[in-house]
Amino acid sequence: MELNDAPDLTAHIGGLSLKNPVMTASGTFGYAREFTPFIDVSRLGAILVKGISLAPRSGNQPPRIVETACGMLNAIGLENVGLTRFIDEKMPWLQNLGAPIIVNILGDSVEEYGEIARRLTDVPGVAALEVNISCPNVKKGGVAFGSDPAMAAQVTAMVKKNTPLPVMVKLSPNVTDICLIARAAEDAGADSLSLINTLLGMAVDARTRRPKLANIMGGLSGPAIKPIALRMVFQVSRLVSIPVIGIGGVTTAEDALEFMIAGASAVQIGTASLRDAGATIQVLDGIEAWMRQERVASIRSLIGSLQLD
Amino acid sequence: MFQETCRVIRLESLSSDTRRLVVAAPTVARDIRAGQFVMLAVAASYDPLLRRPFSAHFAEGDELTLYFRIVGKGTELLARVQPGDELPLLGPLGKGFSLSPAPAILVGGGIGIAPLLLLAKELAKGGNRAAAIVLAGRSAQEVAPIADSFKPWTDKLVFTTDDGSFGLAGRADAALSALAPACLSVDTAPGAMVYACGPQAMLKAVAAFCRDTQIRCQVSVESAMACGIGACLGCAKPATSGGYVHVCVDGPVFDAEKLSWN
Repeated sequence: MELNDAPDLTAHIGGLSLKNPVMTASGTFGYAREFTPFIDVSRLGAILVKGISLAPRSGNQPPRIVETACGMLNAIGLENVGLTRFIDEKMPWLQNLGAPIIVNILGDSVEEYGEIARRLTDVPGVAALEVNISCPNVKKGGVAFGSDPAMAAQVTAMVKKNTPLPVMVKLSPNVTDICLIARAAEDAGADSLSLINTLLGMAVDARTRRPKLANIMGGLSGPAIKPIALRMVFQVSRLVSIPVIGIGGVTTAEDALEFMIAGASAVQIGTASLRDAGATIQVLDGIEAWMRQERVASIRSLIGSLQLD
Repeated sequence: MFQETCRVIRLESLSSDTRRLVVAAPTVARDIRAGQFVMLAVAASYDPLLRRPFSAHFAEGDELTLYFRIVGKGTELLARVQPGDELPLLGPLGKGFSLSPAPAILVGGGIGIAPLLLLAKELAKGGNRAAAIVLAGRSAQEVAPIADSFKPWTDKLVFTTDDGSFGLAGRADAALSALAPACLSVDTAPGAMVYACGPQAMLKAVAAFCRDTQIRCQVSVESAMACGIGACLGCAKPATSGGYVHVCVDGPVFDAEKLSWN
């Protein structure tokens, strides 16, 4: 027997209430406009736009991407239009989309994270910030802040000090113990944690004996990393008391449900959107259909419901 | 731009490693212009994970034709499709050739010949039959099987092969420089245009020739791609003006002087 009432998909993400737990992952959804020919982006729980730095960045030399077994490596190098153009040119359109906009921010220094946070605070339409301390593809900033608990705490505290917006901190899996970083970010005031960013990897062309990426190394994403992401979401969500957003290879509704059962309050969909521009909506529709079929009234009842003996 | 499920009509083997795939894709086929491309899902599984970019080789009515070489796992799978198989398709994508009324020479090398057939047809339908078309490749087996398709669209078809087994021996740019004075005299035909697609080395030589002789040149370039719609920024190429352009949305066709060839 199916559910009579519409299932409740509302997700609560540290100071933010979302109409459903399906978000896009930063860097895989452009500035959202790219997807409007294919899907109704207003249906999404939240949209995370391409990471923004204070100054524009032109990104890394090509080749920037290479496909690997059940995944892909990227070394885009955070190419973006910079904060000023983002505020002036991208936000006026984004603010009317009907989905909350979460801005992924990246600084070269602790102070720069603070400045970006401050300048985004009063920009109409910005619902929250995601602090990127986990990009493996840039020399300065990024993962340098995300692999040391003290630095992660400093960046988090600086962003919190400069904005009343909800702050989500995006964690890197390229650390010995992700729980240490998670705890540090929580203690420094993070409202939620999103994990995982890509795993540092590489690919070699045996014929030319050269790396397949100009950057030599890049971030691995896609279904290949899902088991690692699930494990880390499970570990971190048991440790912290703030919401955890699961990222890593989510391609189907079942993947999303698995992350929520493991402890995620919501998910981000990344590489799947590159493979299929309609992936986010398919996951959303799939979750709702599953809830009706399984007679699950609230998606929140799923969070951390993993059965352990 | 549309997401469409296309249906395989037939797969033709042109040589040991080149294929021509004809699919029914009513929406995309009617909309696509020469130089634009589609992203085709070759497998429902996660390996290979990503769709593959293919430029439109030909389009007529509901039918879209792609021309590809078997180079890896994705194209190996594509070479095994059967009539009736359904494949998800995204298109038309990117900026295609900008058609000029000026005298035109088309230069295609290897699998880069693909977009020139639709271009030759569009030029002819627009009343500007290509002054000449140069088709280049490694050997006869690569060039000969596709040669006849071009005959309706030009009066001068020139072939070059690396080994001289079909047409002239030598490179495409050598054939272009031999043809250009007669076909596109810059003095008598201002705005003459070369349209080229092929390996990077060939495009570089063609672009250099056109720059030196002041003939305008449009090139269609290739890149690995993940999304095809400007979201991932993976398909960057260095631009003359500094920074990068993105093949999927800024191209795949560019004015040759916009790209950095070094």
